[in-house]
Amino acid sequence: MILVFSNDDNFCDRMKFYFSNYPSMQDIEIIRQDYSEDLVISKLKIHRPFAIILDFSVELKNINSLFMKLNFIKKCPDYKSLPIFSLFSSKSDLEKYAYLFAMGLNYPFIKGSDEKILFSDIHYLSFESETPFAKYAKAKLNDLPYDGKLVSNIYGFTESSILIESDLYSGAEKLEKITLEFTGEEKTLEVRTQSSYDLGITGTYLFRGEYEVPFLGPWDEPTEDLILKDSYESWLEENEDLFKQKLGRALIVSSRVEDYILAGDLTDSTNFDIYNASTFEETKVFLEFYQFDLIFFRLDRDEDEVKSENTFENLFRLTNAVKNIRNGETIFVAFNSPSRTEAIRKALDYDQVLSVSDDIFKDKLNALISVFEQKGRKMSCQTYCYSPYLNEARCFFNIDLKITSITEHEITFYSEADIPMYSLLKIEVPSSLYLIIVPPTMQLESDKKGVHYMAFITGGEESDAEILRSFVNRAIIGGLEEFSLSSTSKELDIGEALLEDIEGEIIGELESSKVETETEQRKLIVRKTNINGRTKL
Amino acid sequence: MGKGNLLIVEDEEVLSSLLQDLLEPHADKIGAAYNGLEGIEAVKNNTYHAIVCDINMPKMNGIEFIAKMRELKYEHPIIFYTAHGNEQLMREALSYGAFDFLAKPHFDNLEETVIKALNHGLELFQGTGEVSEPSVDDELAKMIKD
Repeated sequence: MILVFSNDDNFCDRMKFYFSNYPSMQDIEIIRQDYSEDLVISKLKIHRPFAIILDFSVELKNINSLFMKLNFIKKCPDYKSLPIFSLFSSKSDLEKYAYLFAMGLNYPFIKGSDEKILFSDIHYLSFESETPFAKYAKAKLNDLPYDGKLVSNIYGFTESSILIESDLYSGAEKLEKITLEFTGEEKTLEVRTQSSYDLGITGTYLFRGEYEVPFLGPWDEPTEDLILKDSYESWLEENEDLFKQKLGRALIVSSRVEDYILAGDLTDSTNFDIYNASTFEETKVFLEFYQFDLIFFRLDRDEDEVKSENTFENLFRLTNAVKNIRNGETIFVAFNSPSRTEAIRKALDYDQVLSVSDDIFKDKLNALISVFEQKGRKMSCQTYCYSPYLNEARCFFNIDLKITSITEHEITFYSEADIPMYSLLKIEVPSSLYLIIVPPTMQLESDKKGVHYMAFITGGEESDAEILRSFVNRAIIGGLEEFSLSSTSKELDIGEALLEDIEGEIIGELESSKVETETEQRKLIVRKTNINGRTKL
Repeated sequence: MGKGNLLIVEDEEVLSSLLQDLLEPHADKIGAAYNGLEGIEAVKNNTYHAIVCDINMPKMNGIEFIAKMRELKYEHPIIFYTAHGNEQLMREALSYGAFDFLAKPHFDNLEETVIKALNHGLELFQGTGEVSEPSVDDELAKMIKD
């Protein structure tokens, strides 16, 4: 089942037609739904689709709220591998929603580009089955140096640091090179890691790190890689409305997907950072680090469809595990509890526990969190500003890549960085595009040069595809090695120069051969630049 | 409103008598059963608003007893008393809705707990289904240290 939230029936028909060509895929249901936030969530729960496709080319209301929910749903083990594809009408629209990539949107596609590429990628990423990809000309490259920017999420700001979530682990004191789009400009900065911790199974990303803002000191030479403290502070102040203060942390232990959505709602509406875990086992990784103020534990009920072993025995194990953390100040609220608070306290030998006979529901959790706020107790978090959908500030970890091959659809490269599957990287050369790391479709050996990755190239318009095609063809000819591809400013010039160069030659030929149609022009470009006959027409 | 009827399920006669003596002033009627099976029969044939039960008994232990009682839709308070070392059984009892636990041999707060259980049982018996419990928000506010 693939769920498509769009008003574009033709798109769904074309996708159905694509899958009808593959016997094993003929049972795949493609359901088109008109978009509404509640509908997305309810359909997701009912159908358990292999993939969802959100059409951003139509007016999407409450997209931030929807995405917050999707983001939390994707933390639920049952939905963790659910790919979310997105359709945009233009590249400027893609940029408008670019912050959603940092929140877990997997695959951008611009309508009007080659849909067969999208369909085969959906086929491959959703069903992990053998996919008959179109054949493209491939340039084999000898570890060509290249810059990739790993999409990361700015989680929040403190007075002197930035909290960034990413799939890269940074040890304390380690210097990391990041690209920060911030205060209206893009800066490449070297930032010092203050701390980094594992988000475990609860995160969209693997790690959250706190990085020192490289402020310009009184004796420093003003350089591009330092930030003025005044402009940082005034930017935070100006954008105050976008931020929420986070003062405490809570954990919801529940196997219900609804409670993952609830965690998203509460993170959005309260000054608590809310985390999820399905079971006690899942909490082990981060329990000590987070030092939760509150833990809401949903006991399984007889009528639950899925039993997750959230029993009193596991509640006991959890209270035991936190007993030595924060001097046992963590307060537990056990929901669906048939026993009274006094009985639970004695049986678990833990005083900071409350029993609620009802199931978890939003108003109750909100009320309990409010009690904390009203009491004004000093809570676990260092105060920080949090904004989940902040397009005004974006962050990427700069990663050195060594390209081994490239086609207009995919790229293979070495990297010393440990990049998880389905991570998204932004590239600027030969055009502004995205790479999504995928399981390789061929044998790729890792060696001392690093891990050998394969990625699909996505997020381009037809003009980007042409630039990319030219880039590949130029690489096949062998004209790229002389250039340094890890210098961004040069690269753009190179890409454009390449295209102009090739186009110039083509135009000359076109004029002489009087070829008129655009299709024929493209064929001619391909013929001109293709030396091994493998380029797709 | 009366004080309510109490059933004591205890295999040791001496201890059973002692508990009956201690609790007599707080209940309208006290019944005694000397194992779980007798306890079930007693509840089937009489009205008891609350039960005090040993967790470790021959034939049918406290957990099997409460499980059977809940199966028979007896939702009234069941208080267990237990010696040190039976913590796992206590946690098992929680999933059946144990009202409270008392520690042997001192039975601290025995009378207070039994009175609370009988009141609770009477409220249930009188059929509103609503039992007055302190609000969890208030409880939480008390727990949060300033």
